[in-house]
Amino acid sequence: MQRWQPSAASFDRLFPFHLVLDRDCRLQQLGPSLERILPADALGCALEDLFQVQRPRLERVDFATLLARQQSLVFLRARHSGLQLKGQMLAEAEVLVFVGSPWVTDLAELRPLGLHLQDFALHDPVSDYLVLLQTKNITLAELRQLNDDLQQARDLALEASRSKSEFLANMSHEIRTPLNAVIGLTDVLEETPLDEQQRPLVETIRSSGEILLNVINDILDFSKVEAGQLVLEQRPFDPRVCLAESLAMLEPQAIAKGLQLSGEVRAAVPDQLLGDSLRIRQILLNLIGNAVKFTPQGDITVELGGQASTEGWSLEGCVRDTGIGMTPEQVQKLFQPFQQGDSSNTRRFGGTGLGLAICRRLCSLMGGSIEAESRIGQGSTFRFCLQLGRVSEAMPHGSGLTPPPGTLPTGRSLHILLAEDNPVNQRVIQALVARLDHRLTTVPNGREVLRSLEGQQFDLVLMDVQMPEMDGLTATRLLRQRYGAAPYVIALTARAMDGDRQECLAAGMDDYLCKPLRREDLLAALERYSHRRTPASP
Amino acid sequence: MYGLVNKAIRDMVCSGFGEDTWQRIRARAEVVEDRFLSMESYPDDLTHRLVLAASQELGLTSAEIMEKFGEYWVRYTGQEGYGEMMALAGDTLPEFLGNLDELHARVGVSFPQLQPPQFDCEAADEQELTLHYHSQRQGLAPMVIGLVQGLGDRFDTEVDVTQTAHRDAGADHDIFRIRYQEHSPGAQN
Repeated sequence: MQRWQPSAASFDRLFPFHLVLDRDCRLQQLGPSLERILPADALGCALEDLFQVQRPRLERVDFATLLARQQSLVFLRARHSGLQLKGQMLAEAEVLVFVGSPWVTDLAELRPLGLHLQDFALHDPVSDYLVLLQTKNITLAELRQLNDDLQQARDLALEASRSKSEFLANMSHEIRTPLNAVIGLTDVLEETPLDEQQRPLVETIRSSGEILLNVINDILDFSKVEAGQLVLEQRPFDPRVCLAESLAMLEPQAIAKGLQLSGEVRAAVPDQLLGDSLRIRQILLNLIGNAVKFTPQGDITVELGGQASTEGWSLEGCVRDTGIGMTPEQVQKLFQPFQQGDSSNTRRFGGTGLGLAICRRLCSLMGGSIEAESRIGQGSTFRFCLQLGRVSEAMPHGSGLTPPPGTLPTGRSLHILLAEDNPVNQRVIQALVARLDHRLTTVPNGREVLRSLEGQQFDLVLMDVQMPEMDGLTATRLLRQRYGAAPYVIALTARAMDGDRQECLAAGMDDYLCKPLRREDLLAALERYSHRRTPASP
Repeated sequence: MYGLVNKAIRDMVCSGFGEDTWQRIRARAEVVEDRFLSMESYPDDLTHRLVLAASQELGLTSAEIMEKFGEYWVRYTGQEGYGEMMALAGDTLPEFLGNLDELHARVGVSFPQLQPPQFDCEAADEQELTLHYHSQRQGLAPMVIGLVQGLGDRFDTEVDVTQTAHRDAGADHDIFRIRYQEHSPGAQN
């Protein structure tokens, strides 16, 4: 059978960039596309006059040398235009045939070379490769643009978040100051003789104030976590005390509803762990509080357990109730901010819907997680896990601001210096302190604190932070320079953002109380004071 | 449909009628995406919803919208990184239309899910071309009319396009008669 021999026309269409060299290496024939873009007198010229042979490297460009490199990839560069041809040499009778096509990496290179897409043979993948490369480049440019836009949107969102945090910090101060008066003076009012009509009204004012305070605290906590501003403390604490305190705080509500509330810490859990006990208590209070809220009858059990981990101790908690329960859909949305199991619950049970979102973020910050299981009408179980440190032998137990359990106040009358510029706040604290049989001297700013200390001795100073003339932080720093560790200074501030507490302690203050000041908070602070001072007292 | 088409619709509406109009069209079409990636494949239905919503919002028929879009498409692809490809496809209206099928075939290499249309262009005489259009998609014939008019602008050529066979009316494919007159031969916009 005779093999097919392409005609000259077919060969031209198949290889529009071919060239044929005679034995003297002169151009004897050119493909149509090449003929169009090479100089008009190209035919008959020596290959070397029109092209530089870039590959393979040859000492001499002659017929015999090229013939010997038939297996090599050949790159020719046109001297007049920079056009680069990639292909191979074939020996055919008395001639050498170069078969190849332009080698370009961008469509934009074609036109300056005088080429069109149609100059390429239809079977030649180079042109399709160029189109493909072009679309890939466009995609890359789009992704770069998208990335820039996302970066810009992220920066704007972060800026907005910062502004929001700042706004919340300011609002917190503005709301807490009058709330301080409402809650504090209501406490005082409750201690005065009230008739049957007045007492429930006063109790409603107090509980409403406390609900409002909880709402503000929730919003502040959430905003701090969202803004990445929440800093966890690493202090030794007793997990048994932590649970006992949490249960004690919610026991009255559970008893009022006729619920059985019990808690247990497994024997394996160490007596002392390292972590942020206030935040762990916040998680427990939230979960137990919810259980009390959503359980009309039955019992609530709380368990703490876990096991040793590489970090120290993996604390596992479980809060189980026999309450109203939730559907799987409700459980799914449970830890999202501003969501409650059932939105009608917001009206029925109150709350911001932030509590569990805060819990989830707190757990996550402590290297753990939280999850819920529930069935309608059969109750709910919340499980959380926290990665905590273990307390080494050398570390003093119970250090920090939280006293070990069982510490009692001294019972003696104290001389307290109150630095507070707001007359309403002054009245609140005066009333609270008077009922504790302590003596109180009130001054309006930090300068007056220093002046008072020159002439009198005080057991402790209740120091407002923001005051005219001299603020509490400056006054404390000067006081420490002059008098060293005494007297004991407790910060009183309506600023509740993280960092405020650290700022106060860094200035030399010993303790920190947030406004609105409640009687039990003040009592707890005085108890901490007495614990600190008792060993040294005469 | 590739994102490039949706991007072009967005761009056409925004440049011609403003960003607010686009947002209304998007809302009416119930399209969540506000940004499209050229090489990403989107459901055809999304594009159809956008065209329908645009026609309702702008008070034009779908055919009028598609015709305007075809015209815009020539300008848009030229500006959005495909200008080189367009330039390499020809310097005159007949040359470009002659290479239109090859251009789509080549683009199909880069967009494997494109299902590109097929074009076949014949010269009826020196001033008239016959363009045969085969597509797997329905309702895009008005876009071809706009496309030819857009190419007329590109090559500074007066065109008059008439559809002579309608697939919608039972024909095998759509056919267009194109009368053209170059203002200054070979010139490009």
